[in-house]
Parts: sequence; structure tokens; C-alpha cells
Amino acid sequence: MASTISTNEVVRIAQLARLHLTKDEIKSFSKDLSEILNYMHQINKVDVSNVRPTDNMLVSNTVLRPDVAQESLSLDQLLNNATEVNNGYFSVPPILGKD
Amino acid sequence: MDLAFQSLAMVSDLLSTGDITSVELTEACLTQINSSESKLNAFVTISSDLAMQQATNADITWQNWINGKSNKKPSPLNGVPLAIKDVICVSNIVATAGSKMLEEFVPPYDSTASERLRDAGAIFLGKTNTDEFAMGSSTENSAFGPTHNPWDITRVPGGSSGGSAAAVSAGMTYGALGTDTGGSVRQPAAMCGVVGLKPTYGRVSRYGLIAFGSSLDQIGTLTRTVKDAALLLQVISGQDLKDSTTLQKKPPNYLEVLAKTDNLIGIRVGIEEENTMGSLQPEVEKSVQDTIKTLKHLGAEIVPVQLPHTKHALEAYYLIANAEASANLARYDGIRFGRRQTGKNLWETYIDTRSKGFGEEVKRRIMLGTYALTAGYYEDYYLHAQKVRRLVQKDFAQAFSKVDVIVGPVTPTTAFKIGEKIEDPLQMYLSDIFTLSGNLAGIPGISLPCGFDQNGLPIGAQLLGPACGEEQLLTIAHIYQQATDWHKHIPRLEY
Repeated sequence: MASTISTNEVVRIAQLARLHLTKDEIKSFSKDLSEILNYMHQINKVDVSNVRPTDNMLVSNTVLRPDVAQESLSLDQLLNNATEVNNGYFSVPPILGKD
Repeated sequence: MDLAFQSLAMVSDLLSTGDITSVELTEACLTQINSSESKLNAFVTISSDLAMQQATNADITWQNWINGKSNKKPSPLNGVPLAIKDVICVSNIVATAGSKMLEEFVPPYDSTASERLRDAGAIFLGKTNTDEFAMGSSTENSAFGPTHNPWDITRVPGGSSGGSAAAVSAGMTYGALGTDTGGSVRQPAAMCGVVGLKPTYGRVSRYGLIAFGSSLDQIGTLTRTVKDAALLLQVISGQDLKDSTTLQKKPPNYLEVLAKTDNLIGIRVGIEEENTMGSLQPEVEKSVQDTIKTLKHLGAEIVPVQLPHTKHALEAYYLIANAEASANLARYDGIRFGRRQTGKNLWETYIDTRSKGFGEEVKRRIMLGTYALTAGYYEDYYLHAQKVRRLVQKDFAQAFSKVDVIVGPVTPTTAFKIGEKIEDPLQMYLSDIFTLSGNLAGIPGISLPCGFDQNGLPIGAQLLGPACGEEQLLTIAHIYQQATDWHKHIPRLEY
């Protein structure tokens, strides 16, 4: 498997990733992704039967901190990076289009 | 005395005796930045006003201690100018992550690492250039232009912490923070002839670090000497309640450890007898062999080790890192912060924002990561990679039951030309082949200057140690630097 990634597949992946690609990008990504994934596919040569996947790094227990209220950033500081603010809220475009 | 190229430890001593002031040091760095920045492009943001203000305060703190007005000795970093990679948040200074997406993002808070440096009295000179979201090995993927290597400005400084490495190498700062997800501290350190330390995963908090591959990312240091790395690590390491993956184990006193011995008797240094990673530039190979000889001469016992699965580390790494990246970068949707490209509805806003905000390499990695996580491919790629990752970890655990450290190359070649690999992503990925297994295993590594090629470009040697083995790594590296002078060479900076 993974011999080539078709342009259709590139378009499908781009949709999942919320990206719009130009015609040129679709072409070059189809080539790059095929090449890279072909290389990555060598990983399937490694016998991993009975190997557990890594699910955490070095800390294996859940670390908790005391549930004590602390000072946090102000509303103004938090909204400072927002493109559009309305009455203390993030303002966003409509979810449903008009078309 | 030319202040610019002194070690951090040296200027710290001079500050503590009142022989120099932080204002003088900061001015020396800013002068160096002014004279070289137009050629190197090591910085995205230079914060000279903040730096001068911090320096004035640091001088007062030292004066109070020296005059006996205060009995609390300041940190060795008090008054020392530093630079911070632009993926690490410093409160109220733009943090771009090398991306148009965050061109105007001003973090309202410090990362834990920056906060600890600030509390220690360190001076923030500015934010250094990086590949976009730290994705790259050459610092060419920055939306703000490539950084140039101070040893030869037609070449890359390595990456992704290329701005930090170039800044330290060119005498613009006494040390810098970088981040290492697959070698992004060690590889540019090798290419710029400085020391790069990637601590154990969880040794330094990732709070306030703009995420790339969360199970791999680790903040590290770029400095002129190993002792300087120890000074920085001492301040930034340790558990942080804001990052539940930080290690609970208290960091030791790294400087005390360094002072303990001057030979390597009783130290076992592992070498991989068979290079299974493909071809090395002959001069890199020779310098690494010379490093092994030096370590042996200093008393170390050289022991062959086998790491049979590391030859598949590259595949595992790029599958895992890109999968994590595609998930982490999903947050850039134009809603709460960062760039917004308004479309006619929310769906279009998402797509337009991301398509215009991300550069090509970031898009490529998001695509690869998304692909590796989609139904039908998840088991063959992502899950398989997570299993290989465990085998790589086991290889290292077995090796470290026999040896204290493993020595080898950092990069297959010295610094390559700007533009040479940018059109061939796979070739670019291969330049991380010796470093990324350390990230998969979560273990610490250090890159040390160990020679030059025939073009006068620096070569690095890598020491890898077991988890929480920074003490041993720093000790061995420090003893090596006491016996060699590769780290004392500085670029001529003749542009």
C-alpha cells in the first residue's frame, strides 16, 4: 500500500485539515506526500507483535495539584488578542451561510 | 576586554564582584546585534527598551548585595542578557512562532521557563528566529526570512532553533533558550559551533511553549560552554504545577556536580559499532572518532552498544510528530487569537485563515499528520509508530544498563547551503536522523563543538544519557571541554 497519494486523496485530506490548496499545491503535495509516506512505510518492516504502544512519556501517574483558586488573567488581557470583541465576548462570523 | 564573546559563567562572575554592570553587558550585546543582525536575521523581535530597563534593575540588585544592603545573594543569571526562541512566550512581547498566523499575537503571560529567568533577574534581549512552529531543520521555513550561519552566511544555521544558535555563535547574547522536538536545539548548535542541551522530557516545563509535538517537545539551552548550559538549566528546570508532564524529581545542583572531578575514570561511554544510518560526511566521522579517542584518553572505557530499532526512529518520529502537530495546530482557526481571514461563513473563515496563515511546510506536516490519523491508516502508521517508539525506548534502556552515555554524531553533514534542501522535504528530514531517537525515548542529549571541516564549518558530537541523566551528561561534557578548545573558536564575522 501507500504507493501514491492521488490528487483526490490530497483534496480529501485537505478538507479534513480545513485547508484550501491551490491546483499547484495539490499537485506538489501529491508528489511529496507519496514520496514521504513511501519512506515512512518502511516502519512496517518492524515486528511489533506483542508490543504495547507508547501512551505516555516518563510520568506514568496523573499529577494533580490542590484545587485552590488563584489569581488569573483579567478579561481584558484575555480578549486582547481577539480579532473582534463584542461586549466582553469573542465575536465570530455566522455559522450558517446565506447561500 | 571584548565582552561580547565571554562565557555566561565569566560575565556572571564579573557581575557578582561589581567589575562590570549589566547595563554594560546589555549594551555590548545590543551593539553586537546592531552590527550583525542585518546579515544574520537571528531575531524576530529585539526588545532593547525592556532589556535596558531590566539591566538597570539588575545592577541595583547587585549593588545592594555588594554593599551589604541585602543579604540575599542574587542568582548567577541576575543581569545576564539572554535571547528566547520565538515559540516560547514572554509576557507582552510578540510571539510569532515564525508564522504569519501569530504575527500580531502578544502573549499576556510568561512561559514558566521565561518566568523563572525573569525572576532570576535575567535580561531579555529579544525573540529569536525559528522555522514556522519549529517545523524545520534549517530556519528557512520562517515567515520572517531565513537566518544565516555566522560561520558562512550563504549557509543555514540549522534549525529549528537557528536564530538562537546563530545569536550565541555571533556574540549577540550569552545564552539562549531553544526548543528540541527532534533535534532542534542540538542540530543548530552543531552547525553553529555552540553547546546545545536538550534535557529529559519533562525536566523543563512546557507551559507557555507554543506546542508542536507535545510528547516530544522540550525546552533546551544554547550556550558557549557546558558550564553555561548548567547555569541556565539550574534556573529553568524543575516541576511546574502548570505542566502535569513535568518530572516530580527535584533537579540536583548541576554546578556542584561539575566541580567534582576532572577525569573520566570509571565512566563507560557507549558507541554504536555499526553505523546503520547511512552516509556521514568523512570529516564529521573523523571528528567524532577523535572525540571518542579524547574521552578514552581522559579515562573513559569505550563499550560497544546496540540500538537495533533506531534505524526506524525517523519513520516513527515523523509519523508521531506530524500527527501531534496536526492536532495541536487545529487550534489556529481564527476565532480566539491569531490571524483571522474573514470568509462569508464560519467554515470559510476557518479555511481561509488556515490556508493564508500557514506556510508550505506547516501545511505539508498537517496533511501528513491528518493522513496518518485517518480511518484506515491509523493502525498502519500512527499506532505502529507508537509501538516502534516503545522498542526504541527499550533499546536505550538496555544500552544504559551497560553504559553511562552514548556518543555519536549530531548531524550527517556540516551546515548546508541556503536553498539546498528546501525543495526536498525528505532530504531535510534526514538531517535529524541522529537526534530524533532521543526525543522518541524522552532522554537528554547534548551537542558539543568537536572540530571543523575543510571549509571551516563547525562539527558537533552528541552525548545521549538516560532519563534524568543530565548530571552525568554535563559532567562528561564539561570534562571534555576542559581538555579541548573547539568551543573557544569564534566566527570571523567578515561579511
